[in-house]
Amino acid sequence: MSLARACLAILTREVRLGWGAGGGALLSASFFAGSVMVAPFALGPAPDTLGKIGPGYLWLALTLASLVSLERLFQADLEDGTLDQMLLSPVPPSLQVLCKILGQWLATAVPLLVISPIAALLVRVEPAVILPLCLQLAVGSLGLFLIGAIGAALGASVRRGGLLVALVVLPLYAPSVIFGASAAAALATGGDFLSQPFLFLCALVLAALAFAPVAAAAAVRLHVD
Amino acid sequence: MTGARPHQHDVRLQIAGLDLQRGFRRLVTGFDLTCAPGDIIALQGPNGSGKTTLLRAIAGFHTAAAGRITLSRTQGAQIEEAGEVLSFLGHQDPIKAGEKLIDQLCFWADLCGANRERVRDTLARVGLTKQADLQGGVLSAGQRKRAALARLLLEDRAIWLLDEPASPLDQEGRALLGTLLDQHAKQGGIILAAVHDPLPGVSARVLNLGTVESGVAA
Repeated sequence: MSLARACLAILTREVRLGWGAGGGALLSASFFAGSVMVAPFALGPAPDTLGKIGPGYLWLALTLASLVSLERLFQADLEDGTLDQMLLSPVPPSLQVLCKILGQWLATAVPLLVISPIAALLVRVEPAVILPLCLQLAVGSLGLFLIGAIGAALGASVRRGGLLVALVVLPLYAPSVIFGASAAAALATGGDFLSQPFLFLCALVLAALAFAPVAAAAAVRLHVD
Repeated sequence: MTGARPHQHDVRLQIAGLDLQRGFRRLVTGFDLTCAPGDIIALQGPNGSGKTTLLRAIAGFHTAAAGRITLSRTQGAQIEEAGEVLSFLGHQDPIKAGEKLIDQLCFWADLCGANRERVRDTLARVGLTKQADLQGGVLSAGQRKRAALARLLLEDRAIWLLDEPASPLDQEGRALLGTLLDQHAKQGGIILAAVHDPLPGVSARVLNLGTVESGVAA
């Protein structure tokens, strides 16, 4: 009971801080929107080229946008001593980290996913495919946030550690992006929503759900010493 | 346990042969300390003598190079995690700029399993009733320290590890700190504080780090 209360408190606080003054919850969403907005200018608005690239481009934009929010995930808490206090609390650290990631995902990724159908229209994705594609992006974004948290935890004590976090995280992102983009390509060519690449992506997300909080908690613990 | 009724703590702290190291620098060697319920200990010593590191080692944040830190209870369940019985007040205050003070304390209450109804009373005890609905960013250093003290009261743990608790507090705040320390010690709590000035309002056992007796090479 008190464990559930503590977890809920961590999760809602993460959302509240993200949306509060200076929280930067909309940073990822605006990065995503901006990068999709320039796509027709950079790649040309022709439906046959843009339509082909579109689904994969959304995955590219999602991947880079998710990196933007990572740097501060643990750094702010480390700097002001919140992490010390959280480690002293009776809630297991990996569970706290999981709640923080889910809170961050709710605050940051959900706005991004809300605008993703419009983004899909901008890159000329077939209207019939937009909804399943955005659902796949939603599943993938959770995986990206979970995996990204490991890098964020490792780089928490590095000032301006965004570059380090990106270097650590991008290789780990590769499988999710490969399966996600393949699933999107399958959708665009008339395949099923539950295509094989998407099922692989789901498996990756589930594995990340199990392992990433433990790994991130261990990495966070290093900085507190 | 979460009630407002004062109760007696009965946790003991025993440190034996503790060596602390920061990088290649040995800060403390062969440090021994035994604390019984009601003990107030003031750790003194020059900057860099290892006061904070010692407190962080007791809290379990810093891994000691050698030695043993034991927390024990005379009755009841074994202590598995240091966090069950101790609170840590560092020189940083975990106050978020963009959140109301009352929400932050409610968060800490949720996290440690304290009753949310106690939050307003606790804020009143540390003299922050008027600031309850202000954002954390507008609080002064002294008010932030008072908020951290309120967190300590909410957590209601037996051992308080305090790192420079009095530094940003005004006269009234120091008197308040003295009262809180005195009440905590009377309830059988243990207080270890790293200080430069004597702790206000209470008589503490002074322990000097950075001297020969404490086993510290200056």
